[in-house]
Amino acid sequence: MAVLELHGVGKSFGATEVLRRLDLTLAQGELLVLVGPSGCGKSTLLNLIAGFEPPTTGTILIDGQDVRGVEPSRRNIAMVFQSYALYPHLTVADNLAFALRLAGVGRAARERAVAEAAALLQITDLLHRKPAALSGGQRQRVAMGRALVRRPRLFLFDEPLSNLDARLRVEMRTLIKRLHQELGTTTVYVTHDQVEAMTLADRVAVMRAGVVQQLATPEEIYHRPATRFVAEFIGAPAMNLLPARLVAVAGGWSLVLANNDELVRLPLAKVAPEAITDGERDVLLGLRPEAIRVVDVTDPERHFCGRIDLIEPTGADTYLISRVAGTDLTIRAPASCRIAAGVTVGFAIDAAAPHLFDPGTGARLTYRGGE
Amino acid sequence: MHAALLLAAAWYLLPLIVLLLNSLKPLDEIQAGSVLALPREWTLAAWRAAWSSAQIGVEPTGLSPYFVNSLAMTLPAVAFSTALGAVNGYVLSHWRFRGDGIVFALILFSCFIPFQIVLIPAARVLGLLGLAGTMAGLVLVHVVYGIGFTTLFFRNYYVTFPRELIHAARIDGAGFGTILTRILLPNSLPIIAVSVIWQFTNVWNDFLFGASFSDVDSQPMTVALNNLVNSSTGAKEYNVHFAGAILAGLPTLIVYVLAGRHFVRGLLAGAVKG
Repeated sequence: MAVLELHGVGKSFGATEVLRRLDLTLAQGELLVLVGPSGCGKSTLLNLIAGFEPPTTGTILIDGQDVRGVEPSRRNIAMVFQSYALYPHLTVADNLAFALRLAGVGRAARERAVAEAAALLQITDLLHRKPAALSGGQRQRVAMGRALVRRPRLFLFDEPLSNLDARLRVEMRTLIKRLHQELGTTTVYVTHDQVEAMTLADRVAVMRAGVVQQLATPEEIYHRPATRFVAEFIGAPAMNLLPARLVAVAGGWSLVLANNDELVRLPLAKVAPEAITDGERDVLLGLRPEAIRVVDVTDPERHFCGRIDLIEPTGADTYLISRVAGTDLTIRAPASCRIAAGVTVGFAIDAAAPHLFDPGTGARLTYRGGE
Repeated sequence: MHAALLLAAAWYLLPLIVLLLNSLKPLDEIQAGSVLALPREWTLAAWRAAWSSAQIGVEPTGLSPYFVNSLAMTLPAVAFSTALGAVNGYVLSHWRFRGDGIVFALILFSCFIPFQIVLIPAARVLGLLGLAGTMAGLVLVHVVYGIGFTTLFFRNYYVTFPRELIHAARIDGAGFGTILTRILLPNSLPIIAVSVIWQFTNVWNDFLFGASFSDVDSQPMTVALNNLVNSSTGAKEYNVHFAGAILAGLPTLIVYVLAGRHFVRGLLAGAVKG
């Protein structure tokens, strides 16, 4: 059965619509990540699910029950906050036990639950400390412990790793994934970090301006982004976007770079016919950095040329920056790549690699590349 | 730098020093010599007289009964106005309701109403409530007058409280009252100190309300001190007056010494984050 269902849920503050009627169903054990830039409505949605704010429209069901007017504490949820929101005057143990104490759970049962959660998060030796005496990572663990103690039906995470430094963030990300695997609690996780979204999620909802742009598995989102926004937002370095023209030729399509008279012949047999009406149209060509191969200028496979302007080694990969058709193109090359800046090279593209978007609406043209 | 501070401190301490020195002299020494001279004969007679035997109005009771009156007026007034301020501040900072902005603006506005304007309406209300001339009436006036300030203190303090903390408590099952008593108040020591010092100082030092709304048996210290100093029988007993003045000022000094450390932190809490 679905643990969480949203039907036409919207939220407005006065005349400002921050969330536009959205529908969502979360199955038992699923981890959904809401990702988007700040102000996209993802945290508002979490607040609606938690019950801090009533939705302006629509209904929210938790475990099949309409939770309109139901207090947050009675929704069978637990939440982890960005600022951790630990009670500063209580010890770690009392922080963990606070909800149980208010619920009238007996002392023995309380201590057992706290000990269990503490062991799971390896914070047993911190139990007597106050939050002020903890590091950021430790506070994060305590905040998660406080959520775990209650054994909720639904976990809500509101940007839990945003206040941590890069190394701790990766460590805690792994911890969250491991805990989710062990406990199997249904989870809604809000973040603006697309790496967190990709690594943690069973499904990702990419949001922008109160609208879910795409709701799909991380793989689907990465390989078949529904809009230009999703394409740019997911993936690091970001997808390259180049203005181009799509022209009908015998037996397929031809892609012409806008500021380049060089013709790029791509067998684009999979572009849906309705994407083009008059035999040609402007498109936005999207290429992931790893979809571009560096080849010799004279290589018959090369589709276009460019001068390498910059080289960014990252250890595992090396990123090459080349200005093509007025846009900086990022190419992911293996670390063994021995190209020097200033050299002109050829670029080859797999036929399946290009993504095409409408330059006006940003919608994916019904091109199923990547299949 | 330090010299300037010391000079300023000495300048401000001068009146207190004059009071102290002369309260420890016999009267004839004051009449004969300089007010700044050390006593030739040290005596606590003036303090004893001020406390227990000086003529206050028509009765030779000293200030002690009025000291008790002041305590009986100030302690409940401070406690109630601080408690109400905490509740108001909590509601105004973390619970939205229709017209909450206007309510806060009106409460804020009450801080700017001069005492004199409300004297007659307050007297009328006390009369209607049957509290005219009683200690309870005096406490009520001070509580009502103090709510504006205490609400402002607590509201501004609680506004800086992370909303997420309230949210966490709500998920943990804490209701309206539990959040206030179990989460906010235990973290409110600095602003409680501010509110207590502010209210204690104002209520204890108040003369106008005390003179207007009290009866003979409920007069506070300030009114009694005035009666002591302005008694027109015989010679002016400056040493007794000085001792009385110090007695009247002592409690606020003690409160400040005890709670002052938190006072500064509380005042800064609104301005500096964290």
